[in-house]
Amino acid sequence: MDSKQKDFTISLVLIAVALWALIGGIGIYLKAARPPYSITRLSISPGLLPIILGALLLVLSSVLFIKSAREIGLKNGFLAIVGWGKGAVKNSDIRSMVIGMLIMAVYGFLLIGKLPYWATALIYLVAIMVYLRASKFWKIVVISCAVVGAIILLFQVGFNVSLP
Amino acid sequence: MAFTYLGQAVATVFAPLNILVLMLSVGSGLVMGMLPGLSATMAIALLTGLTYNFPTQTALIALLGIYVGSISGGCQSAILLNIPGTPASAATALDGHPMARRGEGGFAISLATTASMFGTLLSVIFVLTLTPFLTKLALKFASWEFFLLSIFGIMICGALTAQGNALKGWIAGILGLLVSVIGLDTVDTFARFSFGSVNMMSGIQLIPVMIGLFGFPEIVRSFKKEENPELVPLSKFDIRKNFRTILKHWVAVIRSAFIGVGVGIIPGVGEDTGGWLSYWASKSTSKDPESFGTGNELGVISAETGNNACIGGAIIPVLSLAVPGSAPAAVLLAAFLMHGYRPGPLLMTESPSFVYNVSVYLFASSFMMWLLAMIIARGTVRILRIEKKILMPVVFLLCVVGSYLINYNFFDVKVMFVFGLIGLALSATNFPAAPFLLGVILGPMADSNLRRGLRLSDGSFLPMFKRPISVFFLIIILGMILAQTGVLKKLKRGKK
Repeated sequence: MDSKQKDFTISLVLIAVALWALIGGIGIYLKAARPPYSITRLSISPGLLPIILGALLLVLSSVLFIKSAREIGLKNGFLAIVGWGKGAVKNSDIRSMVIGMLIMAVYGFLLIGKLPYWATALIYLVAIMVYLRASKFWKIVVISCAVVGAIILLFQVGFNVSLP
Repeated sequence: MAFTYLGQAVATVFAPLNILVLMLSVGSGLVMGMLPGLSATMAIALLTGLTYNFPTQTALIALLGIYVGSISGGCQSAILLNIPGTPASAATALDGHPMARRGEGGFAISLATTASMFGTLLSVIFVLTLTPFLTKLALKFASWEFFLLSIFGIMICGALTAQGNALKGWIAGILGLLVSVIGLDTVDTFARFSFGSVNMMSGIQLIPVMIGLFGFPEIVRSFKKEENPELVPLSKFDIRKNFRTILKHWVAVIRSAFIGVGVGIIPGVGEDTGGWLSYWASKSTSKDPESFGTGNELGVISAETGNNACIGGAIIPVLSLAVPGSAPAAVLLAAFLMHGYRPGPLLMTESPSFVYNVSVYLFASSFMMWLLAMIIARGTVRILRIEKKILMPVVFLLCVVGSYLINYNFFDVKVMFVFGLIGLALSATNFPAAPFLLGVILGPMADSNLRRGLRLSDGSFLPMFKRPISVFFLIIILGMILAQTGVLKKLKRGKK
């Protein structure tokens, strides 16, 4: 995807975010107008800044959209998004990054806090390094044990803080 | 009184624990700065969480030490690998790497390290002299001025960091501002975009956002299949020759320090710009500009003095206005707040010794950086041989620990992850992360001051156009919009 195609795609996402912020801001204004807040004037409402920001974002991302659409054409822009999606599935770098992120997400969202720190950290490190083929398996296990040991020593013993 | 504060700060630095912390933090900074992908911002953000339980002064020493170390450490990989360890050292690679290729790698590193030390030392003079002046000026600021200052900061940062496309910088800034409105608002304690979550109501913590924005994308990018670049061996170096060379180019050192401090003061514009501008100034004033890019020692000296002088420059607005001059300084601001300091116009009244402490700690950090870099250069360059696929998963572990330790809350780990994905999307689509971060930091200042100003004026925007400092900011903001959107150019063409 070239930079104009990227601009086209991201501007669509940004327009959606802008509309969400704008509608959310209006919702805040309407909610704050009711008791117990009873702030009926927009200029002092907590919804003021979100509305301004949403409107500004809408204008700027529309400019970005129009600029990129002018250069690549509307149809080509949408075709590029579909084409990029198909290409991304086949791209080995993107696949590595996505699977790497999934391993990180499993560690950060699911494992952490459920098991002792040393166990979660060790599982994560071994899993991701094995996936990335960072080294031989026994070396990965040794490195992971050393790293987790060093972190526990530094933080739990050295700084006296409890790890997740 | 100033000398008493300076004396106390010197005594604090020389406490055995603090010397040890200084050594460790500067050393860690050098290593983190040297490793491509680990930026100064990330280094400070990680350390901020870890210093939570430190005594305040020790924490300050650690944070400033890692800042100085990481900005300076970037030159080693720039010279030996032709890959800048931090964006700040990008200009150093232009002449540093050709020097290393012709067998002067050691000399180039020693020259860069010494220039870095002088850059930081000279910038400290500006911290000591300009901060009290700016603080006095900031006392004249009221709600409208603070609101416009924060908008100006985000806009200029967006314009200067977006590589010719200010629109993207401004969009990134607005996105950051939108993130800052999440949680209870500071005026009416109304919950905005919180979706009933108690964690969201307390707002988005800065440190996880910073770790995610700057650290996560680098970690994920390291998962690509790339071959390790060739490492040029380190040659011997002579310290006396190194100082003689620096003295020979003293005009360039002073000029680069001035440029670095000036760039540092501009909100959000960081050390990389300082390095590039100083390099460009030396090249354009040189009698032999063609030699730049082929291994000219002046290129290395200028770039490194300029980027390190930015450190002091970026700290000046943090202390006097609570507006960060660069992305690492933004993290530093968050760290100051976490340790109970309130930078801004009242700083000289509430904590008069703080400016002197920061100056002395910066001074000590730059000396320690020089000493460590010279002693351990041979050992540390071996670190550059570590496989990224081993190093980066370990860095993610530290990111998780750093985010968690702020509040001992798993929610912050999730926030770090989510903002990591946002950071990845921003960098993939060429949106700068610095204005986004500045938006998150300055958002509460912009929001509360805008609404306070409007409440005091009974909902009228008119006072904004009646106050001289406000009008000054409005003119600059308008000028920036006209210049960046090409309207000024069109007007000039129309006149011709």
